[in-house]
Amino acid sequence: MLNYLSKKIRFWQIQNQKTNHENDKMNKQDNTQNFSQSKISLNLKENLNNLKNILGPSDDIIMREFAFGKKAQISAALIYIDGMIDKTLVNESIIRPLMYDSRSSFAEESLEVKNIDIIKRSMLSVGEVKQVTTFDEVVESCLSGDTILLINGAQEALIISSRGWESRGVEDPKTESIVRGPREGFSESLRTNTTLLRRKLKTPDLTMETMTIGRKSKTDVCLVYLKGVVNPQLIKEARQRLTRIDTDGILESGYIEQFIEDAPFSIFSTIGNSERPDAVAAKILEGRAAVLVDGSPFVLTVPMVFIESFQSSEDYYSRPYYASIVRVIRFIAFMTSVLGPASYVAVTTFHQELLPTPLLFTVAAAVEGTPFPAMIEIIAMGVIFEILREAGIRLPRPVGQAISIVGALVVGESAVSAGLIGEPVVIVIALTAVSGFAVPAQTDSGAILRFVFVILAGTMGGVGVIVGLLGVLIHLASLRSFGTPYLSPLAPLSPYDLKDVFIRVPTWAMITRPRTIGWKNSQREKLILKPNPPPEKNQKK
Amino acid sequence: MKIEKGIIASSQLTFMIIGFIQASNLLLSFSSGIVSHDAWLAILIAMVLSIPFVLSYAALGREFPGKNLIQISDIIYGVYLGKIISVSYVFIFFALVCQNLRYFSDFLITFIFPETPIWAILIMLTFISAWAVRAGIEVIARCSFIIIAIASTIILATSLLLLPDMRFRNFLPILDVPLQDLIHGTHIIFSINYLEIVVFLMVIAFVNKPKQIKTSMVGGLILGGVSVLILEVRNTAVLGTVSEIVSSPSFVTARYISVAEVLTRMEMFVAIMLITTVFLKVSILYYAVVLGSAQIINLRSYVPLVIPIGISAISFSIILAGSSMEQIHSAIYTWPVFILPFQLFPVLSLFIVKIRKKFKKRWANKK
Amino acid sequence: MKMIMLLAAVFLIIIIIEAPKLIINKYWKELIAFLSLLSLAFALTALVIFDVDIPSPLEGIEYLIDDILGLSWDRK
Repeated sequence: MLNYLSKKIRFWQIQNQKTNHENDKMNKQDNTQNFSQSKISLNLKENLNNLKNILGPSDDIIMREFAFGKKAQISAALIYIDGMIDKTLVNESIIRPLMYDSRSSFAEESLEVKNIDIIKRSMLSVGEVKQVTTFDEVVESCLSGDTILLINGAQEALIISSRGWESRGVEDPKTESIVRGPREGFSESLRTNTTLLRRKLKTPDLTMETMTIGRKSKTDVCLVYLKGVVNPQLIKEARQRLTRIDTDGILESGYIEQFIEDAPFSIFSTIGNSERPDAVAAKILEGRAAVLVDGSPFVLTVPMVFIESFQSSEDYYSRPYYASIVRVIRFIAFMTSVLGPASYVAVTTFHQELLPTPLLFTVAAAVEGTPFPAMIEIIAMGVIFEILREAGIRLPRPVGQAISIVGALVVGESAVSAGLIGEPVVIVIALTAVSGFAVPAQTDSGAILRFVFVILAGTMGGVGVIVGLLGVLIHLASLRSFGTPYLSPLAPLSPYDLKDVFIRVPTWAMITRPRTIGWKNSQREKLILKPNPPPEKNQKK
Repeated sequence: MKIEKGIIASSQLTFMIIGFIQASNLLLSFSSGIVSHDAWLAILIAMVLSIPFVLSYAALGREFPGKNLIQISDIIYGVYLGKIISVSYVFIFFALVCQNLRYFSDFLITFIFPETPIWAILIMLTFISAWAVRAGIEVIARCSFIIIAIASTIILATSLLLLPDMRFRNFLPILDVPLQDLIHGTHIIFSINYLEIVVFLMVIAFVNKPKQIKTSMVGGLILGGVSVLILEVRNTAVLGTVSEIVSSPSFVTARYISVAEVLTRMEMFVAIMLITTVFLKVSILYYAVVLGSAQIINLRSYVPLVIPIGISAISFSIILAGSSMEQIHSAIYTWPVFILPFQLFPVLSLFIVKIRKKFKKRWANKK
Repeated sequence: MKMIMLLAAVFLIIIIIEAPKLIINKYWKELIAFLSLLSLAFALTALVIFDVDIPSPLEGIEYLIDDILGLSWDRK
């Protein structure tokens, strides 16, 4: 055991020194292997050969050599990746002007000047064109969908923005469907997503900082916030954590989430995500920052507080009374989904006296003759439910539904009629399962907590459950998300922010931004916005 | 180097004190056996009496902003005498942790878990408190609001539901007990229910706005005191003379709730209230012990001491008394006398500081 | 004997959880305090487990208050 101990210590000590070394080495390797820092030379042939060496034999890389000018005396080459460019744009706005229009429009003398500047300025009818000098930049932009124009005799290459690939359009968000509210959701393309946000918040203050993360995937990651509202400390922190990431690939925003979260071992997520542009825009307006990741329709928002899981964007679109009721119902549903099975186990095994006598008889009659203790029954049914759920998600949709219905019916009905489990267990599990879905943001942590509490209840009864709840409370209170206490505005209490916790006050009364998040520029609307009907006009006049 | 980096808001200090006092409503039975139905009077007198003491604690904290009891006694009494005082305070807090743990475990065993061994409950409670203490004062403070929100809701709800069962003639005749007994009962409540908040001298150093310490401490004392008063009035009004006999009147009273024969068995909620508030109280005391002992031996972090002290507390709680009756006897007759000097001592310290300051001024003026 | 083994195992686990952090940060003083307090706790727990009759500290307080100082409320 001591041996293990000393090993562990040594490992930790070495780890600290090692990480730095390793990173440097790996970076160096990458650079020497893949990219030549060398400059573009005057000779086109040589350049193309170089590029071929770097890009390899992949057949989706197109190198189109051609000549233009009055007498077709200037040879040039277009390099792009098939499928990542907009073909019409390349044909109509790059090749056509160079090959056809150049014959008529070029004056004699300018033809002699192989000035890449002239081509950039007067020939290419494309919005974004950049001049670069190294292969490094050339290869990078080529791989992300730009078209490269190399001209014989020029030491510079033109990078013509021509990105365009097949992508899903803006569709209904699949995860957060609502009755009233906008129907559009984020899609996989970063540009579409930023557009969706920009269309909601048309202010120059909306800042989008883009960075590239991932050594191989080179994923574009975009940090979006509202200047003047967001806490600059938060942005600094977020930027720092994002730039810290050094991995080979970012394929989904979940990767980023796990790299930047505050409590990596917690079962609660300290970073929010949403598929809805309106929800993300609302969060940005509250002073949060959003992280958009190319290739993922899920946008991360930081900081996240626990209460956010219980808020839905529809709360703010419907009128306040019902929204408040729904919100309280969500709290109840969450408590039911976490504590339902545990309290059943605790009451039936330890505290039977807590049930009213008639109910006790009913339960006792139903459970009589079942072979297992309540805890085992509940855990087994819970596991079966999770299996059915998982199977239902993974299977093709039509099959999935049938399977889960049949599975539930067969497992539930026949297990009860065979006397393996009691009816109350099935009822409790069904209730739990339904309530779990009322709070989608916490389904994962809820499912884990449910099992933990069942075990606590089965071993230590009601006191175990309460002690477990206290543990969860301590854990939640000790969490922070990007500097914001996770349980705020409840703990630490900020009375002004209680307007959006258990009740949702009318929109005209939500005067301030959440204090713990958007402390800067806290007033969000005019003080007196309560609608007043005009005073009744005097009939006599 | 600062051992605790957390800061707490003054409102959180109030919440913590309220929860701390609410937790001790379990201990009301000590005095209700002596003053019987005049317990409310004893509570009221004790509350009024403890206000000046709390004010002087706050004043002592204000004299040394950012310093807690250990550092203050080092400054006032010098290194050696100060250390002795600090050590004795840490022992007192440790004893309080054990007393509370033991009494509450006995309560749980009597009313909820007749067959569970005491060490299982002790380990559970200590474990959860140790978790909170490791997380630091900030986390305890943050939990406090939620805990007292739950506890206050339960107190108010049960009191309202019990209104039909209350018989206010149970209070008659007023002042039925001899004066000595009234003083005795008041002393018990004063020392055990209220002035245990002397432990907050370890905490007020972390308050972000030192100016508000006074108001938030007194506010917490009064609010907590009022909630205890409500409980006592409720218990006496519902139970009458029975409240003298039962060892946990608040818990027993809740059994009387029966709304339309459906809403019964509310004592589970009272148990929830007791567990959460006792957790808060034990965590604060435990935190004081751990922080104090770390400061006495000048450590850079108090975290490594949490588990050893917790285990010692568990063992000590078991050793503490052969039976809960022994503990109750001691709590009624000797413990209040024993702990009183420790509760009065900060007032003495305040006097010393004030006088020293005055003399220094005069001395400086003469020069 | 079984109990004492179990107890030792629990304490060893505690040491394994706590000690490495202290060693890495070179918190020697804290380590010493931790270990000495832990051994004290171990001794106490062992005494409790073996049912050794330890006089209750409350009795000592009672003796002090009642018999030496004569301040107890319990003498009407």
